[in-house]
Amino acid sequence: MSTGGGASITLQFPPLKSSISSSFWLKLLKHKLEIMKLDETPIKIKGYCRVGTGIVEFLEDSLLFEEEGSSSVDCLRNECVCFDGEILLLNTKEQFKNLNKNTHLSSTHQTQIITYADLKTHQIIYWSSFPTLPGLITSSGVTPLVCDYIIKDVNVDDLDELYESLRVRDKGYAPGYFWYGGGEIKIIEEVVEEDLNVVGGRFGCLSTISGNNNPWSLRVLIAKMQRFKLPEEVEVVVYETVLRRLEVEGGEYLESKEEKRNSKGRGFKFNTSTWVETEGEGVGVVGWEMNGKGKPGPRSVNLKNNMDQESLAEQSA
Amino acid sequence: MTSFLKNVRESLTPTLKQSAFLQRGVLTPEEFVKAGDELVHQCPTWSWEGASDESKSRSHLPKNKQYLVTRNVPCKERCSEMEKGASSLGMMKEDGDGWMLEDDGKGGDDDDFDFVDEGDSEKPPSQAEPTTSPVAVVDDDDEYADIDEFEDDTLVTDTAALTVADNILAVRTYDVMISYDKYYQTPRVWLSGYSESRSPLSGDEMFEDCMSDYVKRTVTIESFPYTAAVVISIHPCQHGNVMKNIVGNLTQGEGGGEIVVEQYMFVFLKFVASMIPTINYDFTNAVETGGGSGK
Repeated sequence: MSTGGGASITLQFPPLKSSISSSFWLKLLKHKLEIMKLDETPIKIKGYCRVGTGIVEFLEDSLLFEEEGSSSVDCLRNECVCFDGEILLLNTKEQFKNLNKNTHLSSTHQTQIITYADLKTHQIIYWSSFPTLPGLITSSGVTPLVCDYIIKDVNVDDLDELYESLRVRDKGYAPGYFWYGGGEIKIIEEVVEEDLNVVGGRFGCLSTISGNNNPWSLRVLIAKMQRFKLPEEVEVVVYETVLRRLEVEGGEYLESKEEKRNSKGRGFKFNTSTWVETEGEGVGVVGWEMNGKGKPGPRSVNLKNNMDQESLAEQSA
Repeated sequence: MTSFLKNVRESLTPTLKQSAFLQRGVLTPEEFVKAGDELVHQCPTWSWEGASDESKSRSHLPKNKQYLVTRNVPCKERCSEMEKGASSLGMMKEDGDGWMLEDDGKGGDDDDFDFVDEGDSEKPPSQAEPTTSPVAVVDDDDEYADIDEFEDDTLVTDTAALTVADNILAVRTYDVMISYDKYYQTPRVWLSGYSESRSPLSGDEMFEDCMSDYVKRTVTIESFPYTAAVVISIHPCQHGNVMKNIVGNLTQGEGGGEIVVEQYMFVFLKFVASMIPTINYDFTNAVETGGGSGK
């Protein structure tokens, strides 16, 4: 494995983006009109972060109304990490503007959506914030690697098998990170029970994503590694593909094992002495989502075309 | 009202019990599940989903396998623009296999996405800022005009995130759903679109991503039966005939062999792609006759 230029880099990720389905909004507004009325009690939600895309989805079944006895337990979707949160539906636009969002966020440590909906014009404005594991490295001490033999020194079929077993273990949400060395592939938890300084080996990230375009898998891997006692220097290899899959935002199609078996991988070398210790366990938040212009403003959606009967009739005609 | 009548019609239609995949291009519910299982197994971007509530569930299908879905499928350019381009001479090029491809004007054969710097003022129209920004829709309501400019500079934000100005390509995306139509006894495709800024698209906007010949004829705005979403749908009335012909051609042509029902969805998706060519969902397997489906 060789370093690609040797210069230290700062690890960054594409921003997590919310994707709220129209059916989510329609169900929420119906509930507001018919049941909640002026009640502003936050509603529990669950979101799905699709591995490799950085898109956090909120679908119709993301809404967990207490009246319906909904539970956040059964969230089974391929390639998704599932997490809990709340949505706060305010009654006035002024409340929406004036709410101290940072205070609200720090009091919950969950993903949040704050919204105001005008039920006459079908206009909805909202802010959303996202979860991640704490302990993220963003400082320097990260060196890019060009890994021109990584695929060859690991049996790709073994990786396939490992990935499938992780999917089963984590109910379909396996981020796909692992450790390998001496011809063996293990999940990180198994390796940590041993002395990593003696064991050696590398960490790998089974990913559909490439380079710096992996907002979730690599973040989770790094955060997880930070909790463990690791050697001072750690190499992480990002396997760009094992399975055929589509990379939505990254601009790369991953089509066959054979094609990638001979391709170069990418990796990073971390110097763990530069890591910044952070507090807390479990899921934290990375902050509020920027609006479409990249500014710290709310997002907006107009559901007139989905709700207004006249508009629907015009479109259908 | 129309949806209600369709639901009644579907509920009165007896469930197909006898396999007629090769004879009529249709599926029994069990075959639909079998073909869907193979799609999900081969292509993990596809998943099974259940209905959003019990009352919307169809009894002829397992509760957790009511429809198939793949989400966030990129749609880089408008089909309507592609059609205009294709109608002009010189806008098509031939690839090595004799297929006509849209010329991207760059002369290369590289079909990877191009990374677009959002600060670049010379972006082509299809990659420019969303033309359907929801905020811009509020021109008839001044009450929300200020929201577009409203900012809160004290917000905690993601410090590890690349900024918007970095090279991230924003494209329209679609959720593609496939349900089983009990009346026509074939799969049925439903599409729910999102703008570049991740806002739901209207029906008219989604029509821009369908071949114009089919818009408001074969492709119409409908209520998706398993959720509350308003989506567009490709009417399945001819699916059986077309699938019968495709399967016939595949099995009877030179070197043709046997096709098994597990391959149905792969063939079906390739057929549907002809109506929505710019919605880039088909990364499924190539179909080979003789019982195997491999790349």
